[in-house]
Amino acid sequence: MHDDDRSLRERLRGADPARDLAPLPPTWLDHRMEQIMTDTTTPAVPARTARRTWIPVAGVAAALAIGAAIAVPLMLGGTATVEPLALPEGGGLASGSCLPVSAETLQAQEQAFAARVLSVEGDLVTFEVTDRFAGEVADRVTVPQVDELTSDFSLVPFAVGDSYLVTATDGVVTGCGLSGADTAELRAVYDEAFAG
Amino acid sequence: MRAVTDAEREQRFRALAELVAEPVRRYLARRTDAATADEVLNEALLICWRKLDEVPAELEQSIPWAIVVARNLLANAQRAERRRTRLVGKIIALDPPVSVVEYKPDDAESSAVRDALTRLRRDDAELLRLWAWDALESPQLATVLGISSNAAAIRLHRAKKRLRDELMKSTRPAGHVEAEEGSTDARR
Repeated sequence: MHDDDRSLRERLRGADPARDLAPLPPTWLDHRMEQIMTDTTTPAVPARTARRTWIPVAGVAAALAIGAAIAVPLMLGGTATVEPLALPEGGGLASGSCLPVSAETLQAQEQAFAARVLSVEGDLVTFEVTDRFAGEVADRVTVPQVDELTSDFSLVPFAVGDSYLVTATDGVVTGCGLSGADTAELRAVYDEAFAG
Repeated sequence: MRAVTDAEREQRFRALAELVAEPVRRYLARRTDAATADEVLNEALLICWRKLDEVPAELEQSIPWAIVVARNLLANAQRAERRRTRLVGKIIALDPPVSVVEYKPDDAESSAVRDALTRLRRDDAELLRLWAWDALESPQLATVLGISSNAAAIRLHRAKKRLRDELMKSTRPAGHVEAEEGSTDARR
């Protein structure tokens, strides 16, 4: 580790709120382990049949939960959170080269999400976020409309109602094919990057 | 394949629990109140027993695996708490709740570091906490974040740089800070 890193880590550790936390009494852990092993004589592994029965139910429940996650905050009178993102300057080609579109490149981005275009007003595009894969993402995201003259060709103007897969780092959407229309090809790379 | 005997399973569980209990307890103590931390630690140990076969074979990956278990349990507990709060009509934040560790009034240096952390993006701050406070290295951070080791190293590198930048900006001690760290909108 570099000296700079070591000193930064030490500075952070100096601010650790658990720095003065006394260790667990050894008897506590012994007692807890005995309790767990006595109460549950065999580890609970769900039976295969039972698991299969629950899959469709879990699927429906998950779909309802996702719907509720979007709808409930709004019904409760909460305001949807909105996060502005910028488009890459020079279409993301400022450095003159693009990283390959791979699961690893996607994972290195701070935010990754799926979103549908709600509106295009002038130069401002508003997305409703439908799925979050990485990072904290607001309910809605706004970006400037793509300018075809300066885009790197991987980003084309966003159309109302269309769905997109988007990654961003440092508040800037990544171009170079890492963000784009929600096609089967791009979805496959996102699935590989953010599975599980 | 040879069946694992109950005695072997118990032995593995004891070794695992002794390895992960303290790091998981500290992870929780930094991120929630004492009662919730106790509850989640108890539950996490139970999950360790139930999912013993899923624990990574590499020793150094056991702790991040257990931290993921604890993190998920804590998130569930916090979601349940938010639902309860919503039911009684209190004002709630939709974002994950703030750490409730009570910071003792201490030296200016600690305050400045914590203050700088609060100004970072939440993801960056958490990555740095996992690195420095929970003592995880890139391959272990990768397990906690569910990404490749290389991607974790890149994110950690960026987060360190942002923290250094924030610390450089602190020209004077920032004083006592209890606030939640920067929202997702915070861009530095």
